[in-house]
Amino acid sequence: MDATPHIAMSGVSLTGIEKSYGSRTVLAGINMELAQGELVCLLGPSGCGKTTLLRILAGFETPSKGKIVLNGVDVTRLPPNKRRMGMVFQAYSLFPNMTALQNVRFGPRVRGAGNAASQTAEAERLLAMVGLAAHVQKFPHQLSGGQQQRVALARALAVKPDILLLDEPLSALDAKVRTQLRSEIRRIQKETGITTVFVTHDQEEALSISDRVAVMNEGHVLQIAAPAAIYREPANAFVARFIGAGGVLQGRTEGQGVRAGSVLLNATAAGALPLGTDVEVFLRPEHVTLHESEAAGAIRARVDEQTFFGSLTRIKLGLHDVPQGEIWADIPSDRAARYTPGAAVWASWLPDSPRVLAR
Amino acid sequence: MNKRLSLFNWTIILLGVVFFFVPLIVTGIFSLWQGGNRYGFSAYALLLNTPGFWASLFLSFRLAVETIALSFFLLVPSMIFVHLKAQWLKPLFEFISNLPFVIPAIALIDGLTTLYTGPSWLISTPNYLVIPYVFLALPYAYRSMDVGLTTLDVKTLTEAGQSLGAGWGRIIFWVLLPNLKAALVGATLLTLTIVMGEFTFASVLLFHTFAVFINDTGQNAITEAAALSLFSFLITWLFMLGVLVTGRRNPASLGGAH
Amino acid sequence: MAANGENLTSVDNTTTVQPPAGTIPAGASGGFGALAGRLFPWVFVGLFLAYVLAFLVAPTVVLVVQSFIGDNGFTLSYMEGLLDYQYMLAFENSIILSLASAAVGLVFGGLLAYAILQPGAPKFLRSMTTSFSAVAANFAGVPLAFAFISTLGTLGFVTVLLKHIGIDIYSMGFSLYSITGLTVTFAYFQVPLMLIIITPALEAMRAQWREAADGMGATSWQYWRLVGLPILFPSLLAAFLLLFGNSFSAFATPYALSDGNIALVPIDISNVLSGNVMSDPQVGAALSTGMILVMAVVLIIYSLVARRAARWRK
Repeated sequence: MDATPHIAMSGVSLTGIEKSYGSRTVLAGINMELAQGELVCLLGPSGCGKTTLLRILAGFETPSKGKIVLNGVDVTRLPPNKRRMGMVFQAYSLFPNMTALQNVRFGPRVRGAGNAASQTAEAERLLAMVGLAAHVQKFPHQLSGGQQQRVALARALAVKPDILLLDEPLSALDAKVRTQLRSEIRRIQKETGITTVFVTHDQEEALSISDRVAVMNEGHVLQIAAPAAIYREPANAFVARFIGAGGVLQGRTEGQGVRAGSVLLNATAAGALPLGTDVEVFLRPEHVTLHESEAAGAIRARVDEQTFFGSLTRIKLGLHDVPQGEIWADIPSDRAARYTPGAAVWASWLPDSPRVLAR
Repeated sequence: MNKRLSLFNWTIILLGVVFFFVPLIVTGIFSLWQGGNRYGFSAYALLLNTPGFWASLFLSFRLAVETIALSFFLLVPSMIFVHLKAQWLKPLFEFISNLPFVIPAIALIDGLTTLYTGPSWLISTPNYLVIPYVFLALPYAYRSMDVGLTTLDVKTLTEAGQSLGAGWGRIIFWVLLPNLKAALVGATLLTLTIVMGEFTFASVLLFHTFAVFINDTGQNAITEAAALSLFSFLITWLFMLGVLVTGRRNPASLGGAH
Repeated sequence: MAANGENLTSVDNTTTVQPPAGTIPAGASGGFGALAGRLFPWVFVGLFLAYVLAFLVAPTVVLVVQSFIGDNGFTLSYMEGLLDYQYMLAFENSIILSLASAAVGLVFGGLLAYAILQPGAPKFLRSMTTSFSAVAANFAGVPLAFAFISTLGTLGFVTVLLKHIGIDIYSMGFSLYSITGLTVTFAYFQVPLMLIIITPALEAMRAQWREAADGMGATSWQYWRLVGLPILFPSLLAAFLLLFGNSFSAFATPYALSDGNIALVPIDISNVLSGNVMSDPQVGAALSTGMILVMAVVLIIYSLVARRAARWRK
């Protein structure tokens, strides 16, 4: 649910959106308000309904129930070519028979906006904005995947849409291109101030460019909040597991801690729940500190595995006193050498760090 | 696997070449025969001056163009639509595209003449032939279009067009058709050859298409008939090659999405 | 403007009053324009189907019905008349001819297609055969008949040539105007048709399969027997059935070759139609119905096989 209610002066409003195919429910009642100029990411695993929701916004699907209001206009039943939206598809959406310039000109041409000269000038401006000034006369098959998606973005912007919809636009691209392009998309989005909905299954993408992230699963929006809030204060167990990495331990609340196995885990958040509640404790790797000898508040652990991530190394720890309990700790790779598999260590964290959610 | 062709394969190819070219060559030789031991092009000269020749050739060609136009009008939008929104109709379309094999031409003409006795402005002109001709070409036109539509990501391109505000007309003419050129060319070629060579319907309905003209000539003047046979084959082949080459020279219609 | 979007002013074709969220009736449209846009594509589908109905299905139905209508209403006499010797002979000839020419087309066309697709074959051969096949597959009728009369007729070029070296094919029983002769002639369009049909299937045979088999020590014959032919089998059977149908309904070539004097079903039908034979029109209709029956059986087999061919694909 939306953590901070706002009044949409313009922007997008989704009310009670439901979608079923026969007996299969894909979307189970979505309510969302997007402020003008906001970039919201729809994030979730395959099959959660994020693409369906986007397609409903675009008009390629009609909701079984619910209403969509775009800039004050009810567009629920409006066909896609009458909505003022721009869409960037996952791949292969450029018209192969047209050059980049002709592709970008397509929308204005169709709407009869201006004459050939003004359309061309505007198309060239947009292509320059996405960094393709030198490639305007190229055909799609002469462009790389990243370049094609830039053209697709320019093309979507050319119709001056009220809302920009991106359906996993970067999924088909190489990792390096992906990171480059996503910050460009964000930059352009901020410059133009267009309300944007971005579907992705890549958390890093979602967290790095959004104003807000909507985490979805099985047709529900589980949480919609700013990236930091999603990361630090996941609203439920699914979000906590889905976003970021971390260990999950199970136990019972005991004052300002959680009893798991034969040990008490420090967790201030446990104090907010009644004594003896069955909970799950979520601990992010960056919050765990390793000690080579016993330290205050630390629990005994054993190094199971090391995974090298470049600047960081992630250490998987088995907990001595918690049967089948596992947590992770991130440490700078330079210091990882001493934590060889099998080594005994002590793990501690600040009491405020863990997230405690009732099971 | 080595890159050389085995003896067996070469033999097959050679046999094929012999089988297919000898009759053509022989026909060619006959067409040049001028009685006794004289050989020349008099048969061809005679043909070019026979009014029936040009009239029937143009008639067949015109009918081919009309058939292609009607076929595309009927087939292209409906196939695009079925591909996009009504995939469940595909089996029906496939069944229909196979029907012309089930219903032999000779049976169809029998049925058509029995059922439709008017209006006379349609029945009595050669344009009436276009109606069954569409069916003759249907299996090939359908297959060609089907392959083209399956290869092209019709759904994404259509949605992209719609997201930019285009209606159906624009999407079909500006986006889909230009990228279906190869399929359309294929369908056109096959329809052309079918109509140019069609004999059954034309002869029963007593219209003087090119094939009928060849048959009539064959009854009387064998040299001219030989010349005609060769001519009809070569001109169709040349035309085909021409269209194939121009189709290949358009790079934008290849690549792109791949 | 309220946050939940009610009390809207309408723009474009949107309706002015919206029921509260969650109670929108199914099928409500955004105005006539949108409705027309949604119906428009169906018009073309409808047009196509109407055309097929009017000019393919209806005449066929009429024909089939006609073969059961006599002077006194419903009768089976015309259909029974098909059992007469002359018509049975025609059906027999047609079926034998079709089986034979389909077999020739299948084998020779298949081998030729394979040979041309080999990496060692000259490249230009492929494009040349594509265009040639399309033309040759439709070369039926008078031109083809004439070409073969010139080649293998009683005074044909090849006949005479063979006579010069001592082989008299006509005295050996061959006649261009017999079923055998027709089979040879039909090959001229059956083989190209086979080429057109089987080339995509052959191209789909991955080189890796052959390489894997070779790597495991299989001989060429083993590869074909255990891998290649089983994979190709559905396509081959489908091709055979198509070739059969093509030959069965062929009219122009045998007509031109024999001037209407050979016992084949299409020829018989045309004789009735043109009045060459003193028969009721229902005889022609009955013959046509018989043909359609044969072809319907063939098509049913074909659809079953085609479905099986697609089973392991994709």
